[in-house]
Amino acid sequence: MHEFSICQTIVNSILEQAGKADPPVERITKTRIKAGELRQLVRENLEFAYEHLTRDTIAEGSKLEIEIMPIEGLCRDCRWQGLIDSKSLSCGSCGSVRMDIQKGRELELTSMEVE
Amino acid sequence: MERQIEINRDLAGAGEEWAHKNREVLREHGVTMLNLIGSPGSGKTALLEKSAGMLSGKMRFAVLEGDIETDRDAERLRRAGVQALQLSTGGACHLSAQRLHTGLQELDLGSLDTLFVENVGNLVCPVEFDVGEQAKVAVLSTTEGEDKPAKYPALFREASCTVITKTDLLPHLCFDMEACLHDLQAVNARKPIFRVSSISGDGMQDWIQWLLAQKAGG
Repeated sequence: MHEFSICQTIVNSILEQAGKADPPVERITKTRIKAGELRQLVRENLEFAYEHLTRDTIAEGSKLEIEIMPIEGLCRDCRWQGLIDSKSLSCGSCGSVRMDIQKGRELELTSMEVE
Repeated sequence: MERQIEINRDLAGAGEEWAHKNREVLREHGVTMLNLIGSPGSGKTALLEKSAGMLSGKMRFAVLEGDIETDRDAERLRRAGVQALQLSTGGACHLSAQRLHTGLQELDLGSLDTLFVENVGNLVCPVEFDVGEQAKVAVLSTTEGEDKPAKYPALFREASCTVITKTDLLPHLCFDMEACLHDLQAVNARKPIFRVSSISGDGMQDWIQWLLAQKAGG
C-alpha cells in the first residue's frame, strides 16, 4: 500500500495549488495524474487512498483520473528503442535483457478541474 | 464557474528532499548506507547477526531497524553486540526518508563507516521510497520459492546485489536454484548474487567481501 504515501503527496499538492488560485477555488472536482507503469501503482488502491485522504477537504467527492504511461527502453546490445513489456523488460528486437529504461517511472500531477 | 488549472508538477521527486538530506549527512561523516529489503521472515535480521561477528574489527557499523511495531529486532541485534536503533513506522509499510532522518540524528555517525537499514518486511513498497541509501540489497530466502524475482521484479532490478538466504534448508525444499538465478539475471544482469546460510555460515565470505568493498567505495 505505498499508494497511500504517494496519494498524500498528490492531495497536499492539489490543496496547495487550489489555495494559491485566483479567482479562489471553492471545490476541486477532478484531479489528473500520469504514472509510469514501473511505479507499480494499483489503480484501486490509489482511488481508495484518494477518496479517504480528500475527505473533509474541498476535494471531497472529486474524481481521480489516472493515466498509466508505458515503459520505454533502449537496448544496449542492438540499440533498438521502443515500448517494452513490464514483465520481461526485454528488447523488442533481439530479446536482450540489457535494457536502459528511459521512460516508465513518471509520476506527474498534470491538472485539476475546479469550481 | 468550472475551470481547469494546469499544474504539470513532477511528484516523482517529492519524497526525495529528505533522501537528499540523508545523503548529505552521511557523506559528511563518510558513512555508507545499505538498505536491506525482503519479505517478513526472509532472514534479514539473522543475516545481520551472522555478519556482525564476521565484520568485527573490520567495519564499524550500526543498524536502523524498521518495523511496523515492537523493537524486538533491535533487541536481537543488541544481544549480538550490534549498535541497533529501532524505528517503528506506526503502521506504514515502508521506512520513509524523513523517519530515517530522525534515526540518523540519534546515532553517533562519526564513529561509524557503514549503516545498515533493515526495512519493513515487504517486497513491494520499500522499493519505491529512496531513503538516501548508497545501495539497495535484496534479501530472498529459499523458503519463499524461486519465483519471487519474476513476480516482484522491481526490487531485484533496483538492488545492487541479491542475497539468497537459508541455503541450509535446500535439501528439504523444492527450490529450483537454477530457475531463480536465471530470473535474477533476467531482471538484473551481472549484479552479484550471494547464496548464504546464516546458520552454518556457508557462502558468507563473498557477501562479507562485497560489504567491505562498499565501505572502501563509499
